Amino acid sequence: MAEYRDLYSSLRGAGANAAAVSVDAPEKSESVRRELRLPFSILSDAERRVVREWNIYNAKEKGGIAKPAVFILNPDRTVRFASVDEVASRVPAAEIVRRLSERDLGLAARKVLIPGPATFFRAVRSAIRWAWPNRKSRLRLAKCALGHSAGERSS
Amino acid sequence: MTEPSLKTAALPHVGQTAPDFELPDSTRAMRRLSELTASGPLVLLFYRGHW
Repeated sequence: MAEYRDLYSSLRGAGANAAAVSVDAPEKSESVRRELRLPFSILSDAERRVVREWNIYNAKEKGGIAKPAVFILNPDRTVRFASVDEVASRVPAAEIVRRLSERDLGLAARKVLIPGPATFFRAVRSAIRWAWPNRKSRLRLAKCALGHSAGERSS
Repeated sequence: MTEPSLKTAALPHVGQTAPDFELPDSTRAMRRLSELTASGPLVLLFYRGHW
């Protein structure tokens, strides 16, 4: 937790937020948060409802606790990364920062948002098809457009 | 297999949509997962707790 606190600015720098979950009561979590000076929220799953649903419930220890786990969730809650441990260790915070910096899914989303030349060409073509359903006039228009760009390219 | 620390398959898996939940934070304010993820990726840490 302290490790994640120390790299919190890097997480924020990568556009991410952080939150923790434990089975402690809110009051206990608040003292942990103060003690460790955590800049993110600690959620209290005292009823063990979420840890059971997420299959990270360890019933064998201390009346039932959460296994150390780290998830990276996209804004639509798709799981981008998941790691669950049986022991006290967890994925190093630096590894999480590295994965956030990859921005693999972020890039894929941006590709859709900002149309490239191919998308632009397809949009123009479908607009032409819609506006000039006659094949002959369409060809004439296409030749005109292509001739213009071909001329630009050869010069 | 590529994650040496991964011993148990977690639910939800990578690529799946995590089920939404609402839990109180340490000030007893109710927080919804979908609100926490709304402004960007969320690093969600589950920890054992202190007793």
